[in-house]
Amino acid sequence: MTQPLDSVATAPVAPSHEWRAARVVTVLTRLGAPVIVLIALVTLYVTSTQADHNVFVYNTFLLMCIGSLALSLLMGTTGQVSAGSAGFLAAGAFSAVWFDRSGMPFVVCALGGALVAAVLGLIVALPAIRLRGLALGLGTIAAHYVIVFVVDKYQQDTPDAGPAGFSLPAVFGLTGTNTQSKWAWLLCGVVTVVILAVSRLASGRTGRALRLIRDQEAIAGTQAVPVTAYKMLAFGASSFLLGLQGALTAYVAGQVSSEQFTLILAIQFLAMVLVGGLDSVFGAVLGAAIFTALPFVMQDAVSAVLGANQASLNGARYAVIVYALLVVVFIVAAPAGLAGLIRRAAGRARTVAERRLRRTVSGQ
Amino acid sequence: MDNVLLAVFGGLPLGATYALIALGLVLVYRTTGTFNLAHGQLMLLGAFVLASWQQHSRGPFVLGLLIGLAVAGIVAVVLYVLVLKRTVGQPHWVAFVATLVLGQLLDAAMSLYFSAPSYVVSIPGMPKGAVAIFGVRVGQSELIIAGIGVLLALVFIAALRYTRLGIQVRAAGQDPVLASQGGIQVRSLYVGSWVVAGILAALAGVLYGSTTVVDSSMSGVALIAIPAMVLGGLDSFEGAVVGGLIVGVIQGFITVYIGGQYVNAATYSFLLVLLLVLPRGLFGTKEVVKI
Repeated sequence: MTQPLDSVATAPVAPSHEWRAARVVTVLTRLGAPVIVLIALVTLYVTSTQADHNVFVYNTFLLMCIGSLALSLLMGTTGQVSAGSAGFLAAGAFSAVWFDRSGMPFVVCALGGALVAAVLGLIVALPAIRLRGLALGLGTIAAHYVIVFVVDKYQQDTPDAGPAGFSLPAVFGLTGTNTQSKWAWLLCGVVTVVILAVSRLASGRTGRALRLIRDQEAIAGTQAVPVTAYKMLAFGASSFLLGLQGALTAYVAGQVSSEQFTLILAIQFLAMVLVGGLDSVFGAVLGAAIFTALPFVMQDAVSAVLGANQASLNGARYAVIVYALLVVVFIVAAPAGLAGLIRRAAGRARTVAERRLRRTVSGQ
Repeated sequence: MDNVLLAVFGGLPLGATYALIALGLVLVYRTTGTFNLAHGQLMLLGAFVLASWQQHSRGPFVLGLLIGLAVAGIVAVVLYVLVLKRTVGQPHWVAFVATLVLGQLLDAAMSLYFSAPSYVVSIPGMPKGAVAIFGVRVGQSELIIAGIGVLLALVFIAALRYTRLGIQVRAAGQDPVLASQGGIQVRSLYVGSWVVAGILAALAGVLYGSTTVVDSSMSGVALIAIPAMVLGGLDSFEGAVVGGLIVGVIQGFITVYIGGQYVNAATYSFLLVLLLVLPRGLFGTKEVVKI
């Protein structure tokens, strides 16, 4: 006797082990687990083998990762441009200074700085609610200059902040020998949390909504996607992360000055995510790595080609030229960035391997 | 009353410069849809070329000016043909980022090539004295520069409105497909509008540079002209001139009544407010999206 049809449909089917394992791998990959493991391994390597100065350079890379992931979420996933990254960094850093001077503990200062930046980001994003595209870009440029002006005024009007800016207390004490290694592990943890958060936002229902806003904003509204709320979410989250980076950078360096926050820095953030690859955790981290290394590499390259004198005099300018050319080449030839190139190469390799496998199977 | 006049006459020369800058920005925005954030670097380039011509050769001013304008025009076209033209079809912000990065590239290259920290542009025959208008002393050269700027802008607008070529440019910007069906060479018009924008930038740079010194800070002036363009409505030529003059005069008032250090921050705050309350500006076209 045949089974009734509905009992077949409702009969619980136990998922196979392979299916479960594949599912776990998919979820972990979607949350950026491979990149997290990679960063943890590199942190382990750097902190156990490198000198304090090199660990400091590695820390600047980890700090850059935070902002680069934030911008990848904003630009790559949501399709909103921001040239105000440096402004939000400054907002985070100087709010942290302000909290610190009112006697708050480190964690409150860092998170408080991030929160202030997030609120500012939401205010700046207000015009973007009504407008598409260009307005947000122009608005963020304006916001950059306004924030940097306010921050600079604060620095000038505070008597004990010299031209070099504010000094911040050493979080891990002054006497410790490997303070930079301690920072590296703390930052590694922060970056892990940021990767998990950004990946979570960029996947599932939220991710689909954000990408629909990026690709077809007018249609997103008709699909019951609250466009305004999601845009504000993306902009608030990315400003929060940039503020966090600013605050942490101030603490790691022990000093912060308003002159650090130039429009050039903001443009470098844009360049970073473009070259690394948009809408990709791996791409954001890759971009941060390239742009942390570039000044050092260029210094050596210029010094080898044109002499040490030129390197110290004009090294930074040659570095700008190289990074600008790099961005232009990527924009014209590979808009998906390095991550996109790698993905394509991997895909091609897989096709070739599959074809070869099929040929050997059919040959037998 | 004196302060009011001082503010107005202090702001007008700036406003005329902003009008010229905004015209160049509007021209490429309307034709090729690109917001050129490297416009300030083109200004600086024109002024640099003229200044070093005046420094190194005894040749006539006009020749140096023409070389400066030509260099800026050529570089503008190179930027368009090699890079910006190829961002068509990519997300809108790609061109935005590209012009920002190209601006950085030009800045770095210029600071390598023009190695002196600052240059001087002097326009021959420019009077040095000041005249009294309603009891306020105003620099003669600044008045003349304001006049030249406004005159250039008006001639340019008239050309766009009444000449055959001008009408073709506006048509190509409005509907490229229809314009090309009507026998208009849309692609050459795009290239041509970048040349003209580069020349306008260099003219603005020379006029602005002749009142101050020519140094790397000039590339920021084009960014401060953005509020003028937004006030005018982003895609309106007449709006660019009106917006430029208004923003210049507003800056004059800020300088006189609040203080020079607040000018930039106040202008950018003005832009943020403008984007919020009057995003289409005074003369802008309404954006309609059809699904």
